[in-house]
Amino acid sequence: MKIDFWTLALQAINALVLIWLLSRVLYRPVVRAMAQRRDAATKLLADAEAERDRARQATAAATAQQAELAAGRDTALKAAQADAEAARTRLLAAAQAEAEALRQQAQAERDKQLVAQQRADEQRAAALAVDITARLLGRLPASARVAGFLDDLIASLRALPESQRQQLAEASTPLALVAPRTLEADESERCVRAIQQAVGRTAPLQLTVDPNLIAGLELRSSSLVVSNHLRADLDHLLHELNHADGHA
Amino acid sequence: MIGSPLRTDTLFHLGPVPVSSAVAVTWGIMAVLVLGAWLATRHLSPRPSRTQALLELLVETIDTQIHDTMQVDPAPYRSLIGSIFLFVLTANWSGLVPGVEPPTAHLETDAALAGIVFFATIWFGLRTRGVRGYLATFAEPGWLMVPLNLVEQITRTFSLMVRLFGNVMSGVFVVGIALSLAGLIVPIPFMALDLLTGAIQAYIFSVLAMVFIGAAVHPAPPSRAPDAPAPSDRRDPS
Repeated sequence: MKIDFWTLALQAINALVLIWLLSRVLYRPVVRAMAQRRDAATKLLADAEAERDRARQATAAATAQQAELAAGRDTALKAAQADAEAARTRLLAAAQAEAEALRQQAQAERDKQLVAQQRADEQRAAALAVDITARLLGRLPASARVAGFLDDLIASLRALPESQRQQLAEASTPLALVAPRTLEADESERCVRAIQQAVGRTAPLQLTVDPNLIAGLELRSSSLVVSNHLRADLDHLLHELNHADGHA
Repeated sequence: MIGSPLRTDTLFHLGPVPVSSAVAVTWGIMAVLVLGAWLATRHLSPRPSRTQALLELLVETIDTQIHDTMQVDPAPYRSLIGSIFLFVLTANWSGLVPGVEPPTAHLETDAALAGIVFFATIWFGLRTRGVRGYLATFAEPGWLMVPLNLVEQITRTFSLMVRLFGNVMSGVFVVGIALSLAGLIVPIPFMALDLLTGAIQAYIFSVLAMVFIGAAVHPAPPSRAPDAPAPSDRRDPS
């Protein structure tokens, strides 16, 4: 067995040189590349982490902004609803006031029309009554339109209080005797004498004709009127009827 | 190889230095490895190519083996262990090239590698533990073990050398004999077996180098007190 020490030394040198060369051209570059990629991956992860944090912050900000917008929208909606409610109330009140005014105006118009209608009805009724009465009286003798009412007039005068009869007796102005037609001489004399006896006055009476009386007599002074004729009865009757309708 | 495996053939002389075939083949292997590594690592980038991924896988595997075997940071030992593994593997497989005799089939190459491991063990032991710490490892577990530990340093280096030499040389011999006796086809199974043997021997040589260096740099386990329970007697508190 023989060891070639030259070869042994050369192989040892070769091995050491190979170790040094591979360290330079193989291991260091590969390890450096791996470290660079590991650093890049770490940086990438850090950047991704930072981006994720920024994204979370942006999401939180967006959520807050969304909540703020929702709150603003609710506030605006409530304000709009309040304004609409106020406007609706105002318009409703105005409409109700206008409707009430129109209703009152219509009611007043209707009352006015009712009054006018009632007045027209009264006038037609009065005219109809007068016409009916005149037609009925037309079938009686003309003396009946005066003589039949004289006694009641005298009774009414005598039923007056003493003070009023005293006023009639002492009136400075002449008393007027109103008849529906021109009285005959004997009729006027009989009527004047009966009235003078009833009131205790001797002064002559002033005779006046008023066809509206229809039938009957009326005695007028400056302060007192004593009636006993159909016109007064009809007016009184119409007044009573209207009063009864109003209560009904 | 059908001649004596212990004979060194001198190809030429560089001055007074004889250059054997093993040295020449080693230079060729070195050229292939260095040029290949240089070509493969010229354009490394963060986005690795297939070649770069293969290189990174190789380096990661070497680092993992170092860490698993030595339980230390693999960076200081990467170049030594990785280069020894790549050289031994390439040298063992170089016998498949016609006309090339593996340098590891010569005792000088294996002795050089074993010597490098021997001195690397001492170097890393001194650098890591200091002179006193490293010398104290020879007295473990007791002073009586100092002679045995000193002898072990020599014998294990010798066994490292002889193991590699014997396996590779025998494989080359078997292939040579089969080739000379049976022609071209019959040696192919022996050559495939030689591939497997070469890879295994490269791995064993590297692992043993790691074990030797690891034993030199790794602190010794604390000595057990006489009344302390044996590790097998310890009970897990959980």
